[in-house]
Amino acid sequence: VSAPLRRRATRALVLVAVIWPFALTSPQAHRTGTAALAAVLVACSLVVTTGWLRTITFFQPAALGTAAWVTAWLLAGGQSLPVALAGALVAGAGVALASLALAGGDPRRGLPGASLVVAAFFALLALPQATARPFPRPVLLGIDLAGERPLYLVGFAVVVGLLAAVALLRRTDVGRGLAAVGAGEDFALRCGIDLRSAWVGGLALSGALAGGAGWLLAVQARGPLDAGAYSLVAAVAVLAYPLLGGSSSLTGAAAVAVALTVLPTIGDGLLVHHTVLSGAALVLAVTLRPDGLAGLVCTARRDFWPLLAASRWESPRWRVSR
Amino acid sequence: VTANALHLQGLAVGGGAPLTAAVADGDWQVVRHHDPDLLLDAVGGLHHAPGGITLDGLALHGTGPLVRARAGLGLASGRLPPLPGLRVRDVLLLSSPPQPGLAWRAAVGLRRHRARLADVEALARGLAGRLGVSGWTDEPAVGLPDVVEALVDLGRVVAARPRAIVWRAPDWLDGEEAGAVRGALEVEHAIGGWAVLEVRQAARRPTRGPLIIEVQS
Repeated sequence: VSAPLRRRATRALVLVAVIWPFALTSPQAHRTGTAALAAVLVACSLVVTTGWLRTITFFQPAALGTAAWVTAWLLAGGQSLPVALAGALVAGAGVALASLALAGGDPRRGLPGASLVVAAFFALLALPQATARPFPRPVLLGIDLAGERPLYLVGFAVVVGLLAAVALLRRTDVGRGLAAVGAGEDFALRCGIDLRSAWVGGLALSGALAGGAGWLLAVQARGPLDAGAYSLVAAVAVLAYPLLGGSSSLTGAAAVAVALTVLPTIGDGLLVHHTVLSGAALVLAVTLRPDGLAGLVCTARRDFWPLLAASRWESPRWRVSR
Repeated sequence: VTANALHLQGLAVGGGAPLTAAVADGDWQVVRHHDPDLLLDAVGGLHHAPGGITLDGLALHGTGPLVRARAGLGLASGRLPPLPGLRVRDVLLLSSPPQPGLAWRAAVGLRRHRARLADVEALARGLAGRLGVSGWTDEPAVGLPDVVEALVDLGRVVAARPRAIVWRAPDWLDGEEAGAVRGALEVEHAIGGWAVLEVRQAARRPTRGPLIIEVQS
């Protein structure tokens, strides 16, 4: 998707997200909005692994659950909200790096299996045994987060900050290196990119984003999460975000994450079969449109906006015809 | 042979005759090989081959591809893997020397560091203009025409300001397109003055006797 179009789509999403808490006054709508923000972070975490590093991982719900438990533990112990956020980010990154360590010397082949083992370990053994006391929602810089709307707005600011950092990182040599490693390790080596640093950095980033989602959900839940949030089913289900939205597109995956979180809550019973619908959409997307929503928009623009497209193919010294 | 040169000593690749070549700074030499891609991989350290490689007086034999790339050896194969997450301008900057600390400072949002990102991108756009692919800089690096791919891969190597370039001549392109790529490299070579070793496809594998090396300049 072209840069101007992507910027417009991102601005539209941000505008809707800002208007949301004021247009809708019910606490349920704000709760849904906070859950959607967490889903956006998980989607971006998956874009880093599936889209940039081009590997399938299942550790995201485990990172989310662990970060939520760490958040609950820290806040119940009287720590402040930023300290809990830092703890959650580190915990999420730690789970991701545990997957990498388990994958041994060959992350390209070993990471899917290793991350599944980590997800299973946390879902079946570690997190159900962990206990943390419930806590009241804290006050941040004089803002009482007891209500759903203030929590949503604070969560929105944190999520926008994290995503802006990722988007900026994407424009640096670190972000480019991640994509090059995903394209092929021989190619990355030829470019002078250190594979070990790229894998460690990319997975730590992905885990930290999932950890941010865990922090948000734990503050919303006032304690540790239900087991369903980090189950093995959740680990597979969240893969729909990048697959439907476009594996390398932060905007596309975020849009799908919001849609799949918000749509089932609209009109009680209207979309009761949303799991079936999203599953069918996933199968159709993988079959017909592997590049997801982002690829669909890109193709539509190329096919139905020929005037704009035509101006691109010309260059000062070299004219290329397609 | 001057000090700043690429020197291959008896590099035996793919069962062919050992290759010896010495390319001085500013020189452009041509070598024919029955498997140019394998030769490129051997020079770059991706494929093990007996023989010696020296760059700038630094012995690179036995080192990995990362060490060779960081020592200033640029490899331009003329082909790119699909890079859906990157745009053409990003690919041009892939091999550029890393700027320590810039990533994290830019990520936390310091204005002057974000401005430096714009400077880096402007450099890529300038290079794209010289190569003749400025119309492609904002396109995803997937499914590019062969000639654009060859130019972008060349630009990637040139942007890294290497000490020497081993360039696979794109003989899969037609005459006009191959001429455009060669012309672009000639311009950049004139500006940069590095050593260029051009690898062309040989008609058949030589079984004995020395390889013929043509000196262009």
